Amino acid sequence: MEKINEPRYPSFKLIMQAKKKPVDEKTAADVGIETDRIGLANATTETVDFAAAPPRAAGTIVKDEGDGGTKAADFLAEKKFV
Amino acid sequence: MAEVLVLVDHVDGEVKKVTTELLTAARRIGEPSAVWVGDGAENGKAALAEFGAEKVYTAPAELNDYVVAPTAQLLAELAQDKGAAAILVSATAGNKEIAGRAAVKLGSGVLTDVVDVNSEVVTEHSIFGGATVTHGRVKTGVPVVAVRPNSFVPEAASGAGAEEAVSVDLPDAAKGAKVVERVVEEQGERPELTEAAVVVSGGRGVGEGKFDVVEQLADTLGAAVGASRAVVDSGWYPNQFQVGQTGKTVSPNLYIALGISGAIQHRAGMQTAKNIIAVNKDPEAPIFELADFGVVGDLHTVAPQLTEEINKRK
Ligand SMILES: Cc1cc2nc3c(=O)[nH]c(=O)nc-3n(C[C@H](O)[C@H](O)[C@H](O)COP(=O)(O)OP(=O)(O)OC[C@H]3O[C@@H](n4cnc5c(N)ncnc54)[C@H](O)[C@@H]3O)c2cc1C
Repeated sequence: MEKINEPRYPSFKLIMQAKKKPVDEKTAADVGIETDRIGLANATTETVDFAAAPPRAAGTIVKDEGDGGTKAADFLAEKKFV
Repeated sequence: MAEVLVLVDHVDGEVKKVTTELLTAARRIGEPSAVWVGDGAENGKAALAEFGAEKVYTAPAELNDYVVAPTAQLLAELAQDKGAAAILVSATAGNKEIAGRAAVKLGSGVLTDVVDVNSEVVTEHSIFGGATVTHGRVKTGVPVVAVRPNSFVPEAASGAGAEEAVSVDLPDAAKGAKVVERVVEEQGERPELTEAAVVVSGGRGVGEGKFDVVEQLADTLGAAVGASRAVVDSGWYPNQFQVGQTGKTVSPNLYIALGISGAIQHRAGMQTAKNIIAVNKDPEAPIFELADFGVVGDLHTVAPQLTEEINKRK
């Protein structure tokens, strides 16, 4: 799975060759895109606001003294999972 | 009050929990109308009415013979006919595609991975692995909203549940991709990972061939089993159970991490869980920064004791 994503890096020679390739610039109209449907002004959604998520309140950490599982069960009971 | 269309997720006539969450959310916006595609509505209808569905639109099973497009067509046409205020779907991969297609047909916009919504259909999103919260809205047309499972607590409210058969003429374009076979994935009795209310995950600390300690705890809680990438990469547990940046994103009410260090890529997939319990023998493990309750100790003694305690208290 991981291996399918091996990027192929271009050599310096290929980078230099790429620089010489012609660049053909087109406008949206040239390629038949309706300009009243693109761009920020025509976006159908917008982000109203954004903020860093509030930090999680610090939890309770206990050291297992032979009763770690029982204490975890107490926590679950307190939260009504059991 | 305007109708709010809710696409029903169902298996063998049984309504999935996420649909009851969506119906609850829909009531903030307007009057929920459930949209049932396929067979089994007569069995599931009562459950929908129990969560406030005033109407239940039923569409023929043939729509499911083709991939996503017919359902998108149906939702778009219904939204137009009924003057719907919004369309809500659960944020599964397939439904997100349906949402996108329906929005294009309606000339409106789509909001995905929504975790909260208000009466004006301004939606809340938890992004960058839960590090940032954004609000969004659709500027034009009927908003199409894909809601993450476990974002709402289902609240019962009686609805009329009036059934109305609907159909749609499928253009050839909607028949481009045909479903040729359906295979039920073997996952036993456990709930689907992304929909489960409780997830118990194991990491490298569990050790090879010892995952039954994770499974046993999961089963006492009716939970789904998850795994870290270290576990999946080592071949200790199958791929589809990986939680994290390159695995599944889960947002359960309870997440229990056993022998997981809490690497940023793992946290990205689980840190929006409402309650987090961690068991790790290393007190410095970053997973404890997230934990509401943590036990520093050997998971092979703590987890079985927890399993036993839960069974005792049932
Ligand atoms: C691009 C990229 C994407 C990635 N995507 C993901 C992803 O989607 N999901 C994911 O999980 N990871 C992902 N990772 C990998 C991630 O960085 C970590 O390597 C991985 O999450 C570690 O898994 P772990 O916590 O199980 O193992 P470790 O980090 O090895 O942690 C094992 C923990 O178990 C504890 N432990 C050991 N024995 C016991 C015991 N007997 N009792 C209790 N505790 C014990 C140890 O103290 C340790 O904290 C990604 C990495 C990269 C670079």
